[in-house]
Amino acid sequence: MQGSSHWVRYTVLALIGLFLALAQVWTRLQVMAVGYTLSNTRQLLYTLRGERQELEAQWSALTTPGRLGEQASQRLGLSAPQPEQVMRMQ
Amino acid sequence: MKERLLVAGSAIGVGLLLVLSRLVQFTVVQSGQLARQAASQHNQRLIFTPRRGAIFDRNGELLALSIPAESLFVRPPKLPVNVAAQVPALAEAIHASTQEVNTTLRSLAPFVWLKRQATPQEAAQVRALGLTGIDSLETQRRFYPHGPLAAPLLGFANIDAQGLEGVERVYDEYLRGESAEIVQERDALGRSILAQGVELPPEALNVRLTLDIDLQYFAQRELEKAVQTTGARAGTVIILDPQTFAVLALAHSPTFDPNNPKSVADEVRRDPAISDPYEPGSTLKVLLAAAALDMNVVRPEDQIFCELGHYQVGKYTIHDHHPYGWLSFAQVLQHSSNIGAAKVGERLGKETYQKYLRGFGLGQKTGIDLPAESPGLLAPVKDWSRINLVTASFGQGVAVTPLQLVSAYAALANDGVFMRPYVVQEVLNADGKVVRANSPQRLWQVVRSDTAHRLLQLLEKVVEKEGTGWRARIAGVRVAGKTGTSQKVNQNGGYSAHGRIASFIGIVPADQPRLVILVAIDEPKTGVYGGAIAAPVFQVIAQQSLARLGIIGDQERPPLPGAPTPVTLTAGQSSARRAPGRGATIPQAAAPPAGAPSFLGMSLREAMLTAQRNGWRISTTGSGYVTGQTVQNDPETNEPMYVLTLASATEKRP
Repeated sequence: MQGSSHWVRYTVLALIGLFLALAQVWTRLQVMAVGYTLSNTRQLLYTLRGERQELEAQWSALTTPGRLGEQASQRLGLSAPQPEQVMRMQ
Repeated sequence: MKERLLVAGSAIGVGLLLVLSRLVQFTVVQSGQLARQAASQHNQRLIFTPRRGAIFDRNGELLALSIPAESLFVRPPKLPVNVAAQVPALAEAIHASTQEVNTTLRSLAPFVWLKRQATPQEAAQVRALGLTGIDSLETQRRFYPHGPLAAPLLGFANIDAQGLEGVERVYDEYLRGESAEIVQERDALGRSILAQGVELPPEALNVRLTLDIDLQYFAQRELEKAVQTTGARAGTVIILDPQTFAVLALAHSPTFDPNNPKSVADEVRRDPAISDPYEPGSTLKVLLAAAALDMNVVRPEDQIFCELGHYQVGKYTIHDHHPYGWLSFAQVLQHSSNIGAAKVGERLGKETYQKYLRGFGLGQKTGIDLPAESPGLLAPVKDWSRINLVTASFGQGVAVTPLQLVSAYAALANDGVFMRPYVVQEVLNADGKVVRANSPQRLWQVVRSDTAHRLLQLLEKVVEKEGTGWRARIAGVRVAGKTGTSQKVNQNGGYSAHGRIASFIGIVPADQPRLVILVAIDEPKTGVYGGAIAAPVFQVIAQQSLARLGIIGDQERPPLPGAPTPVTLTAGQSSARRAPGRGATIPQAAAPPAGAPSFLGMSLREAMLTAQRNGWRISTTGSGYVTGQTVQNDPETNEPMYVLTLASATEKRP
């Protein structure tokens, strides 16, 4: 009777040990998976930042005063306003 | 049975013992060494260089930034045998000639650049060819979205993102940022695993300039027009804020595109406004006048005999452009008489005059935060003879940079206080927090405040109908300024027979100075006088700049007869900003006063004009034509205000 309770105890301990070992492996795998995700996300962030900067550069180049002035005069026939034609809106 | 169990158990026990012993060997005895080996295989050390910081104008407009690029390289030994067939496609992809590509591919070196700083599209096209032996590295490319605008001031960076000229050079340490070593794990396939978390690499700092891109554009455009129409060799415009000495615009013609700086000669990439001194001619008479008035050696109404155009000083004869007899000192300035100025200079004396010239910053660097500044040329007082004093009185024999001269005028516009000019307002980190701020730096008082005010009044006469600078007049704005026509020094040290610099420096508005503008046109072919060549350029730049800054415009017009106090026009976004918040009392509709106008059917512009004429405040929503109007009390001022609803013409126009 006493021997059987020992076996039960050892079995439980072994199972706990096995569970902990598996948990450790599982946790490590999860860490790796999250590590990959983080790495990909960081790369994506870097790429998107680059794209944003490219778009900002394009926006600035398209809205440069020289280009707007040229478009305004050549395509729309506009000219710079005289001082009395300027109305200020608050 | 029992024996078998014993044997089996022993075997298992021995096996387990062996495993345990290996475990102990790996985890205890050799743990340090194995951990190091593993780390060297898993961990990758990367040197991360941040993208170069951006440069903004004072309003946050991007002037320079770094964008991703890929540098394509070739390992010739690894190229496929049939690579020759792909050369035309490769050349087309990177916009190079087939000859260049062939030379690169046939190189005997183990590593050759195919194209540095290729665009993402070029890199993608090369990758699509699927050639082994051709690969790429992520790099950055400096881009200046406004092209040549403010190029000499901005400078440029080289292919390795190192600032070489202008702000790029002086603030390189901030813009470049610091490289950092980052350790990251990688798997057997070389993929990175951020198992230890994300270590964000440091970002470079950004720089905000004092420049206003719109003013810069006005200056550049008008300068280029003037250089073209007069057939001039070159030209410079500087706009300075006299209250802070912040540089608002600095333009040159000819200029260059910093996106492709190698396309022009080295001298075009220089910044002549701070590097190239010239003899300022009559514009220097203003500094003489400031000194003379400050020392009380002359009063504006004092009469000076101008020798009918010829004044003998030793063996030299001084000439005026027109012969004058008696002129008041104010008229000497107005008509820019050399002889009148020479006589005032002699009254002042060389020591005193030099003291003031140095006080105005001549003969020394202004200390602006740009590279290669010249101190100009102001010989020591002991080396000045009488003729040197006389010629220096009308701006000969003294060399100044355009920046020095505009700074001296700015001191007059700033109640006589001289300050340090600057072009960088702030250095910001990636979150927009200020890391370093360049605040206006007051240096010293050159002349008394009342002297500066009196002089500005005299300079207003220069721009009057009889003055040399009448073409600089702006309707509704008081302008003070001075014309200058200076002879250029030739290579032999004498004066050039034909080389002239026509210039004008103006202060606007003269009663409350906000801008000091220098215009210098180098060797114009259609004339030589500053009043004829440079003053009209000043007039356009000043007018547009003042309108842009809101200093002139509709509010400057004289009020119409019978109109009440000036109106504040409120429209568009302002109505949203001024909307009452949660819990605020909704304004009650007020009865329109008798004779109040109807805005129905008007365009926004017509409505604003009507409101202005009648002294009414308006607030608008929508766009197009006015389809509805109510009168409410303004929650802020409790005054009646029209609330207009606008709709587009296609929707409804009553």
